[in-house]
Amino acid sequence: MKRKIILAGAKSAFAPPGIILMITFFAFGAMVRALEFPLALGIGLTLTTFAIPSQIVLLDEVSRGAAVLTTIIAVTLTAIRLFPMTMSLLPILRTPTTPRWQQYLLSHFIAVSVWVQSMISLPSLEREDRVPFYIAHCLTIISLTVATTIAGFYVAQSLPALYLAAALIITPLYFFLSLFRTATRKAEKYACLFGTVLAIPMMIHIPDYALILAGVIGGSMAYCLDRLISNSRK
Amino acid sequence: MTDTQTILFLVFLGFLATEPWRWLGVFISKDLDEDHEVIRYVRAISTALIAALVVRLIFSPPGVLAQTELSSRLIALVTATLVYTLTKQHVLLALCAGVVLFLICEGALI
Repeated sequence: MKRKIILAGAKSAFAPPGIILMITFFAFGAMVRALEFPLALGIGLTLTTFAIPSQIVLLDEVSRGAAVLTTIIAVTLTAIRLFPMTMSLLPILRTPTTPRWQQYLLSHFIAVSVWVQSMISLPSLEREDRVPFYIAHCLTIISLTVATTIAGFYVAQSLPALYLAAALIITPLYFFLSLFRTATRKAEKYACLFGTVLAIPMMIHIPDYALILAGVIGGSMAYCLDRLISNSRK
Repeated sequence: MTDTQTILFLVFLGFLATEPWRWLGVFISKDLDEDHEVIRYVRAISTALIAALVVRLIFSPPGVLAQTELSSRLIALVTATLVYTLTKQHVLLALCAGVVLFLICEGALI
């Protein structure tokens, strides 16, 4: 019955994607502390933004004294990936009678790990069970991530510098690995390459806009290259 | 940086820069398929930005990470990637391996 589904949804928060998410939010909490931001900011971001790349970019830019507009653009560009993720998840999640406003609410929880877990769990469920499962999963996940953000923050306070550094390095490691996982198409693989290559000179010469420019220029180059190659094959 | 207004502003900023993409996904979810050119372009940009972010976090790291050796950070990255590839995408193991190698390079565990 419904209760079984809800329990299963809550339990799925502890599957590998959920555990990884908790670890990354722990690292986020540690970064909040390391950059001397208040815990309230960390919790607020976890609740309202709920996207680790966006949150990290926001903190990183602000701590480097970036302008508001630069920060907005950088965070926006990072969050674009939520668009295709939401688009592909919703048809699997909703029923013909799910109202639009509910879909908007449900979409708030979409992050890479939630998406991955949903793609694993939802298709094997009956249509009418999917939304309850998903809600149970997401509410559990978001509670856990807020808890681990707080934990990361407080643990960071008492860690010796070296171990705090180790907690901080989890974030770039995780992002790098997730590039492998999500860059399935050629264009995205080129994008990784161009983004990396462009970032280094830009960081040195145009630090304020390095992220945005490396992202837009690198991504555009990658896309064009991919199109050129696939067109030349035809 | 403990001013409540600043916190609210930044939270609001994060929300406004992120959430509309989810809304867009709900709004359009019927008409565009995932391989549409616009989606591919947009994903390329987003991916390139994350790659650039990784580069920045490794070469110009925040907070106390800045006091560590670049070589330790790079070795951690390479190790995590290797373990990830060898274990067929086991993220947790790869992360642990990366962190452990990092600590070893910084003179901790050995």
